[in-house]
Amino acid sequence: MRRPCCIAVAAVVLLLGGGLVAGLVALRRSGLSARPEPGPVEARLARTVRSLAVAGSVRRLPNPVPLTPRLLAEARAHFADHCASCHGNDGSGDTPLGRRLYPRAPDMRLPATQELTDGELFQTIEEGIRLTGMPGWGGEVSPDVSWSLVHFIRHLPRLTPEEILEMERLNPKSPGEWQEMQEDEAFLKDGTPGPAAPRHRAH
Amino acid sequence: MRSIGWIATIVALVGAGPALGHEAGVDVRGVVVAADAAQVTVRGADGKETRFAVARDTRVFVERHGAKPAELKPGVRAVIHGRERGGRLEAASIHASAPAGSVPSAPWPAR
Repeated sequence: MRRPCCIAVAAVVLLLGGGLVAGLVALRRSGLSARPEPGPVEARLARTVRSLAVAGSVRRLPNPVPLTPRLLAEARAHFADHCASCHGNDGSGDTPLGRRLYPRAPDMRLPATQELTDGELFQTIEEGIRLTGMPGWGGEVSPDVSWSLVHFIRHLPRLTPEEILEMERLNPKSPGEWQEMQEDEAFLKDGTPGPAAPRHRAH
Repeated sequence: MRSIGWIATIVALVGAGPALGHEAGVDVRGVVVAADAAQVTVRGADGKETRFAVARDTRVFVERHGAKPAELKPGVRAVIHGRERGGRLEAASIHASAPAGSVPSAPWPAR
């Protein structure tokens, strides 16, 4: 009775060990890249770990900051300046940075984000998410700013084209891009001539 | 550990610089020659006409208000940010002035 049991244990250990060695060999040969899409198992595992990382008491926290049009406008401006580089003004994550992160910046308009509690969103902004591109901003900004961003994230699915256009003015820009934007506006306003030929962008 | 975090943030922000700009493509300031739901043609100051395809996610604004491509009237000034996609030149965003005779909207709020 003991012998078959030992053989079974040895077989399992051998299989696991073999799998580990094969995995390591494959890893050494091909390396790890952040370019492929994370697989479904990996994504589910990451979401589960993220959920476990939020304490129950924080999860149930209601948003203590009252929602007003002014607060929403301030949160929108803050998001455009600090968050949109990765998340996009519309929260889609469809930006040069967001598309290349691993895991990708999520589309925050979708249920996977919108169904998180206010406390979970607040915790994510304050503490960040380990092993992702999401930094923790706690201590850098006041908690009220993070709570106002929670309101803005809730607003993302209803963002209007005009709001997005206004955010584009507030996105971080190089001096050249800032000048280009002002020239565009001057041209639209009174026809101030810009460059005669189309401007080609490499990036 | 704290310094590593700062270094990572600085590296990310410095690296983000080029990525934050527009993606590869063509920008044109000019006058709308023709526009419909599928394409928009503008004539630049050099007289050259450039045709942009209109995609589902092309954003169109007339006087900073969301609009449809067909609302672009020939003769209005337009700034088009285009991108190369699928082997064609596509408009990512189209910003147009109001047609002559219309009331201009309020200026941008101060930053």
